[in-house]
Amino acid sequence: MKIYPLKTALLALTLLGAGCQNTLEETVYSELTPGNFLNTTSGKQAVLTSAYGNIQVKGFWSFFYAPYTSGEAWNRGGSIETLITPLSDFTWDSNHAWFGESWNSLYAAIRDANIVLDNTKNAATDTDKLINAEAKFIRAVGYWYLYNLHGPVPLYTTSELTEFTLPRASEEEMKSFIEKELLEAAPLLPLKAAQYGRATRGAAFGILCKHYLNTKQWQKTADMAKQITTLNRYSLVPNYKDVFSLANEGNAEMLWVVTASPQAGHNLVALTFPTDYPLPYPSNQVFAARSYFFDSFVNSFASGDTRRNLIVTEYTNTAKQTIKLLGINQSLSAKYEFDPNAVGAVQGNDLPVVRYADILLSWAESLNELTGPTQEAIDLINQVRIRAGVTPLTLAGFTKETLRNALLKEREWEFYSESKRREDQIRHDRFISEAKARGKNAQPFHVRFPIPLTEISANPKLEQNPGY
Amino acid sequence: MTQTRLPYSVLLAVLLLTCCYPSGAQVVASNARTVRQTTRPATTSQTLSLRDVLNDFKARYGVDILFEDRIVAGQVIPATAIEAGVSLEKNLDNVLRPQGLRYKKIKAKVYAVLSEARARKLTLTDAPEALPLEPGVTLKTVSIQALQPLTNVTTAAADVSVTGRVLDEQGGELPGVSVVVKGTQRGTTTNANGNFTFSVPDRQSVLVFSFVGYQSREVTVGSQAIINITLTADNKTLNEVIVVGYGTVKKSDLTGSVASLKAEDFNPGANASVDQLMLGRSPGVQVNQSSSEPGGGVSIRIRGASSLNAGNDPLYVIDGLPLDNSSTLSSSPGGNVGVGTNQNPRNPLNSINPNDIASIEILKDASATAIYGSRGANGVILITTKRGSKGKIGVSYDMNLGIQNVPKPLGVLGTADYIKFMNGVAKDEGRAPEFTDADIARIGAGTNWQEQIYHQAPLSSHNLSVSGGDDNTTFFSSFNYFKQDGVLKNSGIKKYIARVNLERKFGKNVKLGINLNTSVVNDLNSIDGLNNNENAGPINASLLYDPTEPVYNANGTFSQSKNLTVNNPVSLIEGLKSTNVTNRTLGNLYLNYIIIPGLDAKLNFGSDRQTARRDLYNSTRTLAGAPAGGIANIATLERSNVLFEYTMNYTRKLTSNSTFGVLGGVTYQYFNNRNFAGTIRGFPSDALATNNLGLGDTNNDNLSSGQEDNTLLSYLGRVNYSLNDKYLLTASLRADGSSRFGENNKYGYFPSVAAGWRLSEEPFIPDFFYDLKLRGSWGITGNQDINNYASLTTYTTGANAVFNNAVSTGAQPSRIANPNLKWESTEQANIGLDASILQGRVSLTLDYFVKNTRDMLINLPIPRATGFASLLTNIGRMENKGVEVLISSTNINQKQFKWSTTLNVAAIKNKVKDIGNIPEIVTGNVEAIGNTAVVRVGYPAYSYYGYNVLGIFQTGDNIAGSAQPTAKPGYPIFEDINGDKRITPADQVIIGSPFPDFTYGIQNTFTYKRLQLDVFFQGQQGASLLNINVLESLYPNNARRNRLAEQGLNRWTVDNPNTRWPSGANPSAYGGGKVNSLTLQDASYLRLKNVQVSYNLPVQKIKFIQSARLYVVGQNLATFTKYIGFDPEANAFGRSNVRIDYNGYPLARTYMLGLNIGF
Repeated sequence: MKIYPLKTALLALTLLGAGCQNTLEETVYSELTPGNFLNTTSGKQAVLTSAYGNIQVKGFWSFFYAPYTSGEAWNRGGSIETLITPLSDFTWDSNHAWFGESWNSLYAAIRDANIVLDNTKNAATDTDKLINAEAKFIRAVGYWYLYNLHGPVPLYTTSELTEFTLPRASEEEMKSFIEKELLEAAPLLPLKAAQYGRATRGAAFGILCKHYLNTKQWQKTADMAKQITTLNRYSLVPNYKDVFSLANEGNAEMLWVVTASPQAGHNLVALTFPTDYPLPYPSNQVFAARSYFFDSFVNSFASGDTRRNLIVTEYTNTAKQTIKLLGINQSLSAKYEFDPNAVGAVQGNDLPVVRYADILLSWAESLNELTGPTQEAIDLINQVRIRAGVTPLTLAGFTKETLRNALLKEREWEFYSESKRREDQIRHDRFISEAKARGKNAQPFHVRFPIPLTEISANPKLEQNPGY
Repeated sequence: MTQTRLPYSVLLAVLLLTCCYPSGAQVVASNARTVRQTTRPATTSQTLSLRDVLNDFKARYGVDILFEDRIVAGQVIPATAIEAGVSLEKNLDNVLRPQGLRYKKIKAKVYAVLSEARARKLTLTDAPEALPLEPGVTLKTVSIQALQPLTNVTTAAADVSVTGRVLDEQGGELPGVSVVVKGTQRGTTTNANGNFTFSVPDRQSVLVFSFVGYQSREVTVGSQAIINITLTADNKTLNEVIVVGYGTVKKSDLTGSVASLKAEDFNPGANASVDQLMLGRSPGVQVNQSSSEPGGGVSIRIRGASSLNAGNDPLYVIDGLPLDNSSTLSSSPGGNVGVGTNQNPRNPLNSINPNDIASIEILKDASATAIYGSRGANGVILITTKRGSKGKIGVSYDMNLGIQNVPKPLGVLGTADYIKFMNGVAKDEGRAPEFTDADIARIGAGTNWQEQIYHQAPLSSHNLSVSGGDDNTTFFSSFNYFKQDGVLKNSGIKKYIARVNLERKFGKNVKLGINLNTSVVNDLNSIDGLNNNENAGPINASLLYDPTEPVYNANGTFSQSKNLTVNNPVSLIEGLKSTNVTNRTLGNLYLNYIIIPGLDAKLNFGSDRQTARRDLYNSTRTLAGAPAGGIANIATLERSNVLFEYTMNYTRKLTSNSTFGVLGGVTYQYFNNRNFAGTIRGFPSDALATNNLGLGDTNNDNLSSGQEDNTLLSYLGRVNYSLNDKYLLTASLRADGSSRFGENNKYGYFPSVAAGWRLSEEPFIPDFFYDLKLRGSWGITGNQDINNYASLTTYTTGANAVFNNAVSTGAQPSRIANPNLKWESTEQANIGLDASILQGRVSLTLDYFVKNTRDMLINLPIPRATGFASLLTNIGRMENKGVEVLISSTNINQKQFKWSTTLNVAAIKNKVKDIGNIPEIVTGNVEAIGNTAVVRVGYPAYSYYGYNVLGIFQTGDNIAGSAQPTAKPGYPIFEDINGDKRITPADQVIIGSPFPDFTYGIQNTFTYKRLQLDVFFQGQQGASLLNINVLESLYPNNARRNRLAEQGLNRWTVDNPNTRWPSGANPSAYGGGKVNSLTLQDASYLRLKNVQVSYNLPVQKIKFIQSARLYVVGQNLATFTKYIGFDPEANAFGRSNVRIDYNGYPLARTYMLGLNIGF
């Protein structure tokens, strides 16, 4: 008889399954589930932070698209040579790795912003209203970058997707969407953000001003520039060098910057200087890739222009040899200084996106396009020139055309290493002709970058830009 | 006769049913006993044929019983002689003793029935008596030699008297062994104690010892007066028992496609892991050493790649415990430590001792694997470890000592050629020479970087095992020490593994056992992988680094080229260290209970627990480590799973010639893993490495942790039916529940059916066929090998923003949820044929299969504009179909010399049939190169994707009128697929398939007296492999990087126009570092994988030694291939189906000396 309990126990084990129905529920330990998380302010803030992280663009593309396609700089060495050469040579195609990178990171910002916007739709509290406006700003900036690179792109405006594939917006939809969103967000944004690096009204106006300028909406550009001056927050920093110095980050000239720190920074400096350059701090590191200015550019500065002082034309290398860079088209940009707190090649210099000098010159440009040369425009330009220590311009003798040329030249001197030259050339239809003048096989379609090939494959509704 | 078993069958059926409805179990169980007791007397008057009874025992106890027809013919026994619920031995005694018969256990699960009278008579008389064995045995398994009739011995005057004893492998006496003078009819048999005394004509006489179920042996009398010999069991002639899912089956009864490898089929020498034992040994089982690093990853594909995005590795089951074979910590953690990402994880099977393995069964078709349900689609590998057996304690010691080297470094430009190449290209590009005459004079011989990083590396292994047992308890225990240095300096593996297998009987019906394996694995990792530049490891650096640079500067520090963002290779060897320590203990405890004969229950509790820790220190001697002040990283992983399983098995003879078996069970397995990793930089000194993270800059740390779990809950059942030993039927079903799937799809159902027809049992099949069996099967298996939580939306670490100059961490959605996520299903049909002739000397196994995977778990690309790259979706279909052939032949079988050959060939075709609404998925991204592969309907999965190179532009070609108007002579001509006169991404095409047309292995074994030679070749034909090192050489990221010599020396120049390699001038102007047909190579190869020469030392005279074998093994002795690279099998993506070779670890050539002693 004593064996029976054992038999019973064994047979009873077949019950095992019955009691285990809930065992197949999944428990999530190390990730957050959306329900409660997105109902909290800290949850929404966390997603908004991610949106900021994605719009604080620091990929190689963000500082290399413009200089290499516009002829501002040239490159040698390092493994990015294979990625830069097609940009310099106008042989890029839709498979270029950076097009995918910029597209993905900008749309990641838009995704995060959409989540925040959907969860603050009926914002009741001031906090929610601000969060909503910041997200709206980020989304608009994302589309502003995308439009700048590719022209109109699909407008994804919600996180609750019923359809994954959307067609491209029309030219008009795209332009007005960016305008409308920034205009809506601006009044809700603070003049001074609670934390440096977050959206402000000035930032929204600044981006919008540049949007108007690049879309040649001259009157709106002038009006917006004027409106920015009425904010009474922005001015030129007296010394050009201080605009970019680590010690002076968040200065009065900056409307919108890509904030950076050594822990979340960029490699721009490491990709500029040669490996035998004497590094000032032990934690600095540079790559074999170098970014050079042509002699013609360096020599074009007027004598006494303090802006040229941030260009290295010769140095004493680690082997104590003096290397003359001017003369061999190898001058270096020192606009962004070596960071004493760098983590290897990663530095924390903030990268300006819109600064007050740009607003002044944009304003002057729009006035010139509207009415031709005026003293008002000349004065605006001269604010920038005087700060640089060069002779002010005088109205006399300028035609609309010559002032336009002078303005573009001024912008080259003022904004080198700030990724402006490509859009400036495109705005004035010089992008292709200047490339051709450099001997490149540039075609009219090159003013827009292609939609990344992977995106075209994943979305049959997308039409590629012509030419690609 | 059959009615006598009816009461049993009724109550057993009832009992079995109660298993499913356990509420009434107790009542029914007690009734059962009552019923049995009361019905027993009714059967007293009935008798059974002894032959039927023995056949019944075979089925019921799952053993093989060998007997000669003659001795059981006409024998009947009372049905009451058979007791229920007792051991086979007891029942054999019950039925044999009254007939004057006895049994002998030949080996585990194999018994022979002998005539006791014969032995008894022998012991009664001094004069040897020969007993003729009569022909007419029914079993084809009886060896031919045993059937030789003997005549009475006639003693001649000059005869020499010999005596001796015959023992089996375990040291037990063998009675009834026939001892015959070769070439005569003269002979005798051994007595009950295995002794014989006998006169032979002269000392040149050769004695032939033979016995049913054993290999016969021949001994020359010579000067010996006493001849003691040991006979070894002959596996070939026995009816092998094959381990299948949740049970065993006789090979002859097998209906599924199962490859069974025994110890003698394994690759010889010191193998680091279990999977290496099988490499090349079984058709349709492709074992690829994705990294040849000691302890490196292995990828196994059984019958092709059946999934696109879910796992493709088979399920491993060791002694009934399904292993969690997910990868352990990889050797490098990626970016934040400034070293490359290595996607080749350590081999998780390193913690199992290959010497412990008794057999490996590879379940291939759905009939065999469907019982494993959602984990069966990629095949199942059942590993059975060695057990002890009753008898004397056996001690075995194995030792291997070896030396490994790199047979041939990759051909890169040497110093002089490098200088010539660089100056030549500079001239072609219109630049000043890179090296002036003064430079050249200063540089001298330069540095051969590969010589600097590789060395000859020792290997040693020691294995000690002790086994034995008594009537109730058996045990096997072992200890293994294995140490292998890598041929790359500063890499290697060292491990200690111990095992205990213990089994104990309690009374007649209960058996309790435990299998326990525990191990410590120490890895010294190399850090090569998929990355570039300063993240490139030493292997990549040695190929790219400038050979004109010295190793050290004058001041003793490492030199560093100012032209390259690549570390001095030696600085990586010396300045970077990555170690893993993995502790893993796995085992199971099981209880077998025979409820009544034929019905038994098994409770199996198992667990597999491992903790692993990786320490990585990137010192200030490297490019990344120097500015950081040293980078330390510690990562830990705890992984565990628990198995709880209950099965019942019932076997029943329905009629005299049909048998029915049923298996039912429930199994629950819970998996959990937790991880933690921390990186800190900025140390005041390199001295402490990872031993004091607190010394680093804790403001700059980087911490992460996580936990995941998942659960499987399953119900399984299987039915076997056999009629007349001719018609065999198997059906199984598993209902599998997994936590990984969507709310509505937790459970999947996986059925299978299979039938076998033993044609050789049919009268119309000529006796020429020793065995002939046709098999057919169909079934559905599943794949659940995806990440946890794929059906849920969760938020994880997002992008970092900088506010107030400090980093704020954001949160972002991990994925788009798919609540409808379910199993990937693979439907497989298989037709097989087993044939053998000449008493099994030549055998053939042929299988044809079609595997269709549907509802594939695909990471379906969605527009990135949604913020997500892909959505894990059940969509699409993929097909694998193929033929597998296995031929074994004993070509020569003479007394002194034997030669046997085994050949396996498999040809498998993979084709993507459907991937939903999108035309293709372009994937396989490699840093700085981009995508390398495409999944497109109608083509093999992950075909290589790129530009097709037609040739090289020559001087005078109409370049301006071509699709590349800006090209120059010496540039490659790309095929303008769409004819738009431009080369754009639209001109990319499928340029090759990673799948071979066929794979093969050929084993030859030659035995001459005590000497044995094994030669094993394996290879593949028709596969392509993308070699990123070739691409890197063709499109260097930086002009000063070194090139492969083949390209550099044979580059196009005006003077060398007839070449396939472009000029090397302005390479980024042509092709931009993208995949093209020049970078793809034919990965066909034939490899002399192993050669082993072994010698069985004559140790009969040494009392304490049973056997001793000395052997020499050479591994990877030669590879015949056109492939440029270390190994055409390498895969930098580890187990992934996207196959590329990038910085592959060199496949070492190994020579080993081994000694095996049995005490």
